[in-house]
Amino acid sequence: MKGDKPKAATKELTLHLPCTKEAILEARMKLDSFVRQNGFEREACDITLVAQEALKNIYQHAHPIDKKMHLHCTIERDRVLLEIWDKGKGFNVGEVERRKRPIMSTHGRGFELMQGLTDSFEIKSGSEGTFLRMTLKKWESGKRPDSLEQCLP
Amino acid sequence: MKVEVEEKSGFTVVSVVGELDVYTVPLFRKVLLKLEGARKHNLIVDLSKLTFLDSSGLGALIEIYQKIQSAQGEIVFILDNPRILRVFELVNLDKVLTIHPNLGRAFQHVGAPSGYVDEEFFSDIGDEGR
Repeated sequence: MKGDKPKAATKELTLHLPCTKEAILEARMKLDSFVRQNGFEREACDITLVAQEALKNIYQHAHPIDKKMHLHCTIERDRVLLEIWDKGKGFNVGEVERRKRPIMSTHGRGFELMQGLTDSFEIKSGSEGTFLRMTLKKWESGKRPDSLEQCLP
Repeated sequence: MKVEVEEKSGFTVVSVVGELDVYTVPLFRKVLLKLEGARKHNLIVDLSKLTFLDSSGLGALIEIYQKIQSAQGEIVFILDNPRILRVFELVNLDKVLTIHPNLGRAFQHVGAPSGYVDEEFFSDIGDEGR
């Protein structure tokens, strides 16, 4: 139809990693490379930070029965969809979201960062594990500070 | 990650080069413990060469701020990277910590001129991490 934009091909990265500290770094490096190669250079730092926080939570708290962390990243035209899940013991999401951390708290700031850096943030958790779905849109001009060269390759 | 330490006009300038996260926080803590042991209670923490900061790194920065406060010292942060500053803003740390964009402004704030480089003090720690 006239005026319709051609549909961009969806690109995907799937990682099933052992639940280790070393694997978090490996996942971050692979994700960083994947999103940069697919046009999200400026957003790569936020995307990898969000992923690292989610994976750190699995490593520190989930104790998954399969001893794995799972990450699926989908790149669409102007956004990145990040799904991270585990088959761990789960937690009470409402309780964690309601818990107000004091500004000077030295722990538990990962949730604040994930919620603050993403455009949408969904979490489901229960006895069979935890599933996180987050989206980050491509920055529009002026949406974020421009002098960001230090994080670019 | 590399931590550089210099003495300048009664202040200890701690520069973090690279990434401060769950992997590198142990080295950063090691340096801070050594500073604490040497009763270095006036710090300028230079984060201008920091490329990545996660919640573990934030926790370590809050920890050193609290220690310096309880020792009645002074601590100032240097930060000019908008990405890192945004991480501070998300957890409202920018409202609590004293942050300046460069060393000159930090020294202006604490009222001190420049000084010398203490190369031996941390020679036993070396460059660890990534």
